[in-house]
Amino acid sequence: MTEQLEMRLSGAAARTAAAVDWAPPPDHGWTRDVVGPALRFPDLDTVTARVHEELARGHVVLPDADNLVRRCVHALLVGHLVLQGPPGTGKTTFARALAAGFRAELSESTATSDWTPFHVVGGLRPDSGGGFSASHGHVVAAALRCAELVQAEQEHADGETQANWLLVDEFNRADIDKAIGSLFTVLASCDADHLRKTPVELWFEAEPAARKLWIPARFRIIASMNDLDTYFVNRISQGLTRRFQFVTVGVPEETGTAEQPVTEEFRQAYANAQEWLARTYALEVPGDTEWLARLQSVVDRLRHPENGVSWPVGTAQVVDVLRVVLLRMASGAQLWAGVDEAIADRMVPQMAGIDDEQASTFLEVFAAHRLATAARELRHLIGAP
Amino acid sequence: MEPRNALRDGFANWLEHIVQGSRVRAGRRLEPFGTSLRNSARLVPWLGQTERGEALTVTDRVQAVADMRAMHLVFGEYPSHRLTALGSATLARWRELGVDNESRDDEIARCAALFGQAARLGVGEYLDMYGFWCELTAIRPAEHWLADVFSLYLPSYLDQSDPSGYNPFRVLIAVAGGELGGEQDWYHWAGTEHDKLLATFVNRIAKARPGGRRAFCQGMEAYRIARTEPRALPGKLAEWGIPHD
Repeated sequence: MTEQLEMRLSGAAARTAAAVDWAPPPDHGWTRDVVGPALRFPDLDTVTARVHEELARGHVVLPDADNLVRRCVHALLVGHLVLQGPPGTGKTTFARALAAGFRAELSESTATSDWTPFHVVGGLRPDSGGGFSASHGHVVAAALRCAELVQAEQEHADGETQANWLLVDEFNRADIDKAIGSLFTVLASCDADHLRKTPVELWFEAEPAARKLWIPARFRIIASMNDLDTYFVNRISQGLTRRFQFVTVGVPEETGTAEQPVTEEFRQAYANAQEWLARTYALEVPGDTEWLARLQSVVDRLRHPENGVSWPVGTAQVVDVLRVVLLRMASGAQLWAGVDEAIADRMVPQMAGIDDEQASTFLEVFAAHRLATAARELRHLIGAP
Repeated sequence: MEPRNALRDGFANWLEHIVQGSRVRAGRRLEPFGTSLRNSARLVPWLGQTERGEALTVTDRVQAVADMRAMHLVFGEYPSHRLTALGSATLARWRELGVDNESRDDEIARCAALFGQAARLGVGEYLDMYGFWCELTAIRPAEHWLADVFSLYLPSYLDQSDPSGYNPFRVLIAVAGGELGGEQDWYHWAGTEHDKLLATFVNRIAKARPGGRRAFCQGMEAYRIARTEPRALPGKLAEWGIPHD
């Protein structure tokens, strides 16, 4: 800490240093001094209310939202979190809302099959001068930012943002055990006592003072993973599983009824699509939503068919369809034909991998709703005549 | 080894070549300022006025333009002079850093920024000065050369060749390991031998005005340290007395 303070300049000295493009040499020793503070947690109601506010702003409706938010808030008070569920259920938006609820920044990354410890921890990267320079991986960069925020709070006590967290989308696209393996020890607990004893070794840093990084107790990783694409993802070891709390985010249970044919989820999804159209293309479409109830009926029957062979259509997929429909409406296309084409183009391609029973059920749903294009696309997808 | 013992026979002829009457050839440059311009603060309003096409707020405008032209900051003759790429870049950088003022506290920052822009644009004379400075700091620490006027100017005066190719600076590097001698050594030598040329030479160096050169060399030194031993820069700036707020 002392050494780092000596590196801080102000006034004419700072201007002189800036004139020669000086940057303080890396030194992470100070991060040991900011491990301690636990997450600031006013109370459960305040944090959950903030999370709900963020979700409402993003027009995201989660199934059993109160319970889900509470579980995740508790999980984060303890440690790291994995949100799992079908695609399009709002996991990423939920992760952002959770971070906002705790007044934490969120560094976002997306795992890929190429991920190695270089992407997670860091390593040496060729530089423009023909040499190599240190490059921080996602966890290290995010934890360092978190440490800076904790330090800023300690020094000024005026920052509302208390931490920086890392979001790893598509967590299981990577061979995450291999990529994150060297962090197993540090990820075992978010307790300050544990973290003080387990600095991350940054072997690639040139400066000896920068070769150890202490992770703040306020740092969290929220990972999201799609548990549907089992053919394309990697398995997660028991060892890694133990280091995260897993919470499932499913599709909303509520369906349209005779009295209320459009659910809150669909109203929010519609509002989201309208906002997007106005913001992005300055277009507005009339508010006639009779067709929305029909679309709700299609989605309800895909999610909850009478024979129980379902397809978990996520809210984000509904929003995608609605955006296409509204765009087509704005350009004067026939309404239900537009819905049919939007389902065919946006929803059906994600049905690759369904079994024969599901295909048969969904073709019936499409036929019942006069979605000829969607039915044709689905038959094409599954190779049916 | 004292310089007088190292410099050998060629020195007398060399001295005759560079000392002509009361004039002494200045030798190799370590700062870009002309004799009538000894700091960068005066350049701040002039560069701004040139940029805006306004008259310079100085009595001798022709001389001011000549000084700026010698620094590669403007081209053309007064009053149709214009900023060069270096002039524009320097002014922009000073503004960016908030040193487009006439404060003495920011003199080294302005010099460093001027040098940084010249280095970026590849202005040869500035790069030569930096090369010379790096050579000097490889022989002795920067503080040795910055310690007094004599140490600051002696290398420049010595590093020039006469028509025979004799160069006392290079001799002292090769023979005396870069020991150039201090002011007292040279005065002692001049007094002992009652050598008028040598006395003129030594007096000229001792009476040089160091302001602009010291700040510019400090700017180059800050630039060098930032690239070679960045951890040392804050301490060096404090040692030089550059104020923090």
